[in-house]
Amino acid sequence: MRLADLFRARDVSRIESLRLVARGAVEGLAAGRHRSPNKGSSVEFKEHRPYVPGDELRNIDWKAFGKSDRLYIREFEEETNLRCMLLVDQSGSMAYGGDRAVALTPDASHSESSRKSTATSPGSVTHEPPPSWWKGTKQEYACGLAAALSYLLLSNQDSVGLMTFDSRVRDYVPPRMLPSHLNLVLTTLANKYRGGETDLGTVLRQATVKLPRRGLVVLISDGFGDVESLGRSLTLLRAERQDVIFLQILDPDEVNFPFRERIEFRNLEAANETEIIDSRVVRDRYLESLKRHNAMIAAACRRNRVDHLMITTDMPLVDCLARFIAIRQAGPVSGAVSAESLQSKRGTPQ
Amino acid sequence: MTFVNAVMALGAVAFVVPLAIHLLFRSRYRTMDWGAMFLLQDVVRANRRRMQWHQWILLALRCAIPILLALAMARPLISSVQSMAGKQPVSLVLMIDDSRSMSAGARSTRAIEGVLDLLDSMSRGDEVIVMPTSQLSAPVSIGSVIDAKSLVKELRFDASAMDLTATLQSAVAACRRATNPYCRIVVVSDFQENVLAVNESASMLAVIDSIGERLDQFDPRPQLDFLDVSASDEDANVMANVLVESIEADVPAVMAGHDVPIVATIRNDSDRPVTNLRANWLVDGRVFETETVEIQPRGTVSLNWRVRFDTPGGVSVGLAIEHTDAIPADNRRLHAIKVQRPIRVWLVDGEPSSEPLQSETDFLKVALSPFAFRSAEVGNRMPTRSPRQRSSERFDDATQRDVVSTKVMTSKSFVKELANVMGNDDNAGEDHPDLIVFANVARPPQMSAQKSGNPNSESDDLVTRYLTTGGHVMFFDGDLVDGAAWNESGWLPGKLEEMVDAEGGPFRIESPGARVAVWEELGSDEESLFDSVEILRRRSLTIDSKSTSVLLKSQAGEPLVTTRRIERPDITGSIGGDATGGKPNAVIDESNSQVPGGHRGGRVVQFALPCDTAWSNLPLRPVFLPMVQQLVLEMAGGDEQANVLPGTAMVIYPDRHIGGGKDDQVWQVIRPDGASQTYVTSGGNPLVYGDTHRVGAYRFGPAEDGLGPDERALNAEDVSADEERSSGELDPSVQVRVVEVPASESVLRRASPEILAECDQRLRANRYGDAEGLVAAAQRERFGTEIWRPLLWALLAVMIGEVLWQQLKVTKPANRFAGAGTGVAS
Repeated sequence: MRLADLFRARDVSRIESLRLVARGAVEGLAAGRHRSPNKGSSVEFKEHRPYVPGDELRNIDWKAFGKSDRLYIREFEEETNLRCMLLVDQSGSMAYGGDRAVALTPDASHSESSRKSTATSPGSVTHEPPPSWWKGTKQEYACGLAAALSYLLLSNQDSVGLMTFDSRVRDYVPPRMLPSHLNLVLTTLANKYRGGETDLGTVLRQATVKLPRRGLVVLISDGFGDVESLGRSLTLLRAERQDVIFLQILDPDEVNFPFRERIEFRNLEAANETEIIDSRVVRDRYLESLKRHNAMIAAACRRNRVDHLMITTDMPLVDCLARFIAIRQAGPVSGAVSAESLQSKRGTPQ
Repeated sequence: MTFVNAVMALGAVAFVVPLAIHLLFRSRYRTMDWGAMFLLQDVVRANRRRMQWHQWILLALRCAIPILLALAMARPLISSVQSMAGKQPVSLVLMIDDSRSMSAGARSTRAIEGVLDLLDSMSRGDEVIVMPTSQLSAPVSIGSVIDAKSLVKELRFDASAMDLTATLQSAVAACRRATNPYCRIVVVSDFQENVLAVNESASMLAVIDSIGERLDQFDPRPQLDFLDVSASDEDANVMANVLVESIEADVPAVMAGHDVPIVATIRNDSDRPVTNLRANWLVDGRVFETETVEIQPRGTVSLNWRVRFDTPGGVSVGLAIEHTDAIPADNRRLHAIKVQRPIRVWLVDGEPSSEPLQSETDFLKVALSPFAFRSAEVGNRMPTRSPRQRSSERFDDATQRDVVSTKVMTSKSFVKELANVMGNDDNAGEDHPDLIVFANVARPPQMSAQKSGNPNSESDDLVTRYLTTGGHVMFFDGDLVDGAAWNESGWLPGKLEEMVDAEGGPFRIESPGARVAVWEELGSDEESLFDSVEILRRRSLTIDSKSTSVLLKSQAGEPLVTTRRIERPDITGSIGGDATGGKPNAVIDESNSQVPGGHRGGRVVQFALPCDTAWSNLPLRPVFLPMVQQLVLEMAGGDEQANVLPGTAMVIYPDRHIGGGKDDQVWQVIRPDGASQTYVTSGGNPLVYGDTHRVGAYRFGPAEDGLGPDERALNAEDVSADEERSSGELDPSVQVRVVEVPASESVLRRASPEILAECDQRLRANRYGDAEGLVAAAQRERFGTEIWRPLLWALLAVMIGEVLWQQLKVTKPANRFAGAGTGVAS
């Protein structure tokens, strides 16, 4: 998989213009643009401290000595690069793409169906045709999102790692800051593991072990699973001083449940598990249940100061990413990306 | 439940269509891979039972649609728990109020049209019993609908008031005679105030309850309906009415050759004055005199007229007014009069004397025939005038003619003469006494068994026979009277006891006042002509008979004058038969043997005083003459009831002065409508005539000579009114009876709605103000109520409910998720 297969040139340049900054201090291996918990040699003054034997004399603030007749050492902020770990959900539920998953094919015919599906959204936005790899599943959308983030971070000399999972960790790519590392990430994203159940809590606990230093963790998943376990894992990550972003990917069908007929629903995460349901009868109650589930996820994220953004797969990927970064720079993120918000903020300089 | 279009009900099986669609729909579904399965499973697990109920309700609604549609098209008929007759024959008992008030305005028209509408709605096999409320005692005739229509069209609304309880009782009795199990009673009336016994509402309601219980005994219970034709009466101006309220002769008895004062009352029962109202006095239907009167609103006017009849006989006088109002029938009212020859009184003198005023009956004779006494006195002074001249002078002045002729006899001659007139001699009628007076007679006169020709009894009491055949007796006490012997006679009102002398002052007579109508003019309680009467001795009387009443009593309360009627044997078996077919002409209810006017028995008046001055000064007082005159006139002239109500049987006695033998008598009756009927009665028995439902004058007379009373009456009426306002000669063999409706029937006042409602409730009856409602209710209760309309409404409701159930309850507006989160990222 190549980046050119995922994004058009215009989108690539737009991604390059974005800049994802860690909200807190991170511990990097190289100099960068992110705050570090250590003192260093940057130009950003941090504080004075009393002189102790052994300190380098060049760091003594002689002007302060002249005023107070005491020796003080001048300390400066250290700036380092960001170590980001992308956690991409590849469980069975992420394979859902609705009718688009069937109708869309890698050829050009997918564009018309995609336009049709997006046009049904409120405040219909005219989007450009998606790239050829796009088949409409949540997994593909998550992979695209992970690839865009990887390219963005590597372009900013930050380290990017990847961990794919379903009920357990499937692939692990340690963080690197080399530009060539992007190919490894994209190749790993191309691996498909379908059929497993989503177990965010377990996966996050396993990932915590492999993330010893402060950094940024981006969780890309539909969030279908045990919310309480997810909350506990987020708490654990935050205890390790990881900056966590949860990008929840949902299909528009899952949000609106637009079905009217009797349907045999087959579980994508468990074989031979079916339910024949009159869609009209259960629609209201399903939506209420989904609303309650999402509210619990939002509450867990808010409690752990985790940026949470729900994105439906009919939203333009790059626009969503740009919008998210813009909002993140302003403060904590919690909510969903709607078509109206994208339309009003499109083209906002990052 | 039945169906008008039962075939259409088969369409209800179309409910299988939605059922099949439902089942097919359940087997058709598409398959979809779904990621958020755990959310769906939670919903399904928690709401599986609810969703099943939803499905079943939806299925029921869809199945109900074709069923309701099919039922509505089948037009089902339902009723209450009571069984319906349906197409089975029904007996309809029609009780139609034919009283005079029904003729007011358009009531009779509404009644007839309503009944005809009801009859039109009936089926061919139904039977109808039509009973006018004036003929409740008539035999129940069951006929077809066509017969009933013709009967209803011929109804005349000119009878007296309907009795609601009697009407309902007759209706219940008619239901028992009906041949069909399903009966319906319809009472058509204007429900005036006089149909209810308002003063006895408690007892009336008790009767109503008993009628309701009798109705409950039927299975099925007859439905009782009231058609109130006065509920939609016109305004007061249309219903304004002027009527002749009353007419009567203001004398106890009408004597030939004497002026008869006739008093009539006209009432204006409206809110407008009546001017220039022409009132015509009638004699036997012919106008004799006309007056013009004016009457104030709600006022009355009394008119007086004097007429004289030269010969005895029956005649009708009347007053007719020319006015257009709500009830034309009450603008004319008749009154029957029996013009009598001079009353023949036999005075049986127990102490005769040739000296003036020394005889026991001298004072009484003078009091009864004062003009004869005067002429005799004048004759004594002027012996040159012949008796013929005296007689012609006496009869030229009508105001100076005696109404009573007396004949004095002893006890022995009395027995002989009475036996003579009581025998079979046809010529004895002319001498038949109207009144026999016993004055101080020692013992009751009796004829020996040998003379009487009755070997079974030692003596035959002639007086008793005389009394039972309509004769009257007046008894005066005296010193010679043997009380024990008279007490054995059995017909005296009071038992003779010892004589009582006044001690410490004479006995005084208490004024009878209004208690005795015939002596009402002789004084009131404050001032009376009886006050000057002093009684020194009287006979003590013991009254033990319930039929005895006291006419005069002393101020101490002891009876002085008593009276009683002698009952005649029952006359029910003497009903005359039709001369052509032997059919009885009168219908008398077997439970009521009392026929009005049928008591021909005589009357006895007993004085505890003598009629001379031995015990009192009564014969010397001014009160004596009018007292005995009025009493004799009342006794001799008031024995027959000549004016009766519609439907009341008349009893006509053969005139003993003319005929009265033991041969069969042929009667000819001329009815008010001019129709003539002939009846035959056995010798001596009266004619009982019951077909008296038509208002007007009925003329009865013997028809053995081929000349009926109509011809004779017409001959009599040919005599025109002369200057003396004499009606001329009357046929003495003709007797006139008048049937009139009481004036209260013309009072157009509705009965109390509360009492009517109470009656309706107790009888479980329905009241209708128009025929349309009655006909509709009859059809509904017979065939049931069509419920296709509510079924269609139910169908519409089910269809709307089905749409709402599957749309509003199931489908909610989409895109709820956008606002369901914790906030939009923007």
